[in-house]
Amino acid sequence: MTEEPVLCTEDLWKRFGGVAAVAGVNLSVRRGTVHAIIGPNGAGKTTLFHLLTGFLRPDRGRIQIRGEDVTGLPPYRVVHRRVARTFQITSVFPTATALENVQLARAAMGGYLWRPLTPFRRVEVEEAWEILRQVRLEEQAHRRAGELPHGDRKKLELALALACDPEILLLDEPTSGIPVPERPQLMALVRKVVEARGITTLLIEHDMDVVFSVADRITVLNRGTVIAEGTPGEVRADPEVRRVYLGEETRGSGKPGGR
Amino acid sequence: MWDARTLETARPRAREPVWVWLSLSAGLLVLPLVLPSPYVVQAVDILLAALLAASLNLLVGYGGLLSLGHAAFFGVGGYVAGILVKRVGLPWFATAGIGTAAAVLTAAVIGFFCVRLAGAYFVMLTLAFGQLLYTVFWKWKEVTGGDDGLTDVFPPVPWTDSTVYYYLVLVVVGLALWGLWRVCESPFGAALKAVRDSPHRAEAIGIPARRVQWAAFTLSGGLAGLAGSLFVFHHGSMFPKAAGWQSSAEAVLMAVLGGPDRFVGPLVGAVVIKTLAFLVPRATPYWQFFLGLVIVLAAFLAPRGLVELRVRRRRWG
Amino acid sequence: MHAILGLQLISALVSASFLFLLAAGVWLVFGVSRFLNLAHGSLFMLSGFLAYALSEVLLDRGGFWVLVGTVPVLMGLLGAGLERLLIRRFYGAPLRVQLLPMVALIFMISDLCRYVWGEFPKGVPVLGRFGVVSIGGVTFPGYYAVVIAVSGGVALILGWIVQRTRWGRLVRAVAQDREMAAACGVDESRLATQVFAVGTALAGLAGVLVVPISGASLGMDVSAVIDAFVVVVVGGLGSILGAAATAVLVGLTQAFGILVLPQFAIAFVFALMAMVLVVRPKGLFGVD
Repeated sequence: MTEEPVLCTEDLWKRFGGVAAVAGVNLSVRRGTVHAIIGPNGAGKTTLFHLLTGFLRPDRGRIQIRGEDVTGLPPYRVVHRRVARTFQITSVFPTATALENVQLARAAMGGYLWRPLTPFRRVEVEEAWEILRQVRLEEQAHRRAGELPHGDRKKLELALALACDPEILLLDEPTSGIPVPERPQLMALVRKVVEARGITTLLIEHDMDVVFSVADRITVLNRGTVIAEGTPGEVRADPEVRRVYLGEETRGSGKPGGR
Repeated sequence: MWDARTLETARPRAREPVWVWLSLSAGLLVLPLVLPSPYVVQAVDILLAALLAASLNLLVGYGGLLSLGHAAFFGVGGYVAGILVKRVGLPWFATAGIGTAAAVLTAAVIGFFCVRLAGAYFVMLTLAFGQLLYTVFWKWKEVTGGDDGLTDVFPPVPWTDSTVYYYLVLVVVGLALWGLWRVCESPFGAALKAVRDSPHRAEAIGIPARRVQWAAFTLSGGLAGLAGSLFVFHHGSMFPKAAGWQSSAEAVLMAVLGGPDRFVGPLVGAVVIKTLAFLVPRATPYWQFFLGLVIVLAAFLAPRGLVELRVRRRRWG
Repeated sequence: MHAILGLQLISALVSASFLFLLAAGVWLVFGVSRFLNLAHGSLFMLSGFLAYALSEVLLDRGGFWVLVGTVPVLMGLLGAGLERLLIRRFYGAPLRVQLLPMVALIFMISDLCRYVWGEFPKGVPVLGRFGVVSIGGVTFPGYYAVVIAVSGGVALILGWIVQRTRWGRLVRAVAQDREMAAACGVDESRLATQVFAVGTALAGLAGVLVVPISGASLGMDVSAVIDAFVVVVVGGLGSILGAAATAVLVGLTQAFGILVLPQFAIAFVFALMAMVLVVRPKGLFGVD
């Protein structure tokens, strides 16, 4: 394929004190794929997400989205380049209802913020319902987000990201805190939604069963650098990966990461 | 699949029924006809305090930003309007507008710095900037009159009558509060609350968090300035103390004791505190001490404000 | 000119001394309890009046140093009592609720002082006892040197306590990560009381030291707490010696601002603060 990558980074660096959390990462994500980032705890996965979405500013290197340089843009500008994300620690607006949560994301993206005479409760209501329906949350629409059970909050988190109408979706551990038996169902839902909308997905996930079942491509990080990249099959076979990472899995309970 | 209800978020929200607003408006309209004139003067003060408290609550309640320098913008509005009448001789209604604009500008500059900090740092910084402005009003004697105040800036004849002025203030404050309420109920208000609850999430869905807070700070300061510009022509004078930290703290108390989670909270707080401040000093010169006692009691008994007390009783009783 | 600059330098160090003593109290309480002590200036003012009241008895019996020793101890006890009875009930509450008891305290202490000591400033005339000092052609009251030495000493001792002793380690542990410290068995509640008592005692020391210079007066409460806040904002929550250095910087800015623009010297301090906020929001010595 000669197609341009939809998202790529060039020699990306981020240090905290003396530790390089991300050390020269070159990443290239193809359009329409589900691309997983895996690696042991402290490998720099979440830092990489923070860099890609503008929550952290890289010390060096560049980030390109669809060929445009977005390095150093603040988060609220990055999302307008159609890159949306979720957070590892679920982060929704607890005092607003689920519907209002999604409405707000639509309002912010649709430029309603600076229209003081438009009543918020009438903004993008139908679109917000549609998104809640897609993540199967319509029955909880009028409950306050803070009162929702954890699994529903995870879905709302996803709904907030989808409401930003992304081309690229960054999911930071979408299944964390979800019971193992329910994970495939949630990921099937994710897969369905992103395929229907043609969204490119970047996924951080600790559950290897999830990763190997949904990912088209996998990048393995260790101590801030890429040690392998390829299809699930290639990554599984990579001796380096087996040494630093999967080796633990065969001994452990199928959930590595507790380095 | 959808009924009409789904077109609104239809959450049971804490809103006053229409009859409350209607009877309140009717009451406010006939008030000066039944009250003796010293009380009408007092009523104007309460209206202006309500505007001050409600404007502050955009920051305290909706934004979660506890400002202790809010009265300084009240001071900017009042002093600029008064000084332009007294020293330049501009017509008073024009200077009231200029005073408000000056407050907007000042709030924009100060807010630019303040919204960079959160929590306790924001409190410290607003207090410090507020006292800086207070110092200017107090020390710049040639222009502001210093400790002796800026005096004798009454508007021309029909407006010196307290009943006439009452109606003017009622209309202006009513319009300002209506506008503020619309802003609070707009996507901007929702965004402001979102930034309060989860700033990172807000940024991630495309809300420029700091800019939203900055705009709220500017609007809030501007409305305080409007209250100040109306105040100076009401009393014909302006004193530094009205811009000092005590006045800011009083505005915070109105918002917090009234109930910052709802739009009416600060209005209720303004009525209660201004009435106390009017009545109690007649009984004792040490009324601040007793106000302090009341505040401590309120902090224990109604930490979410007086209006929430009422709601709770209605729901449970 | 040389003499004027020298004198300004001395007065900068004197005001830095008070700034430090006040800021250290706010700093300690905020660090450990995440509680913004808005009433810190009121406790400072109360100490001033207390020093005046006690001076009538103590100056003749024991002399000035007994007074300097007594007031902080009394204030420390008062602080411990306040913390136990009132303040601790508001830890962890939203900031706007925390503000209520503090504003109440400011109001009540202010009226209390007015009721007991009246409207007019009260002084303790001991300046003469310390003579004058002359260094390199700059002559100033010996008492200034005393103030600078005392607060400098306090800064060093506090720095040593916080950095080197067991108690200081606890303070730093709680300030950095309260959950972790609690999990490790630190008695947070006792520490909070102790820290508040120490902070109040420092306000007491500042109060008793300031009375011979500028007297105790109503209204010194808020200007003092604002000065303390400015130092905390500019310095950030770093080390205690960082706070001391910031106090000196702010004191210098104030003192030399007076030479340039006498009425609005405070503006220079604010310019400094604004600059720090833009360039380094966490403060000069702040840590993330």
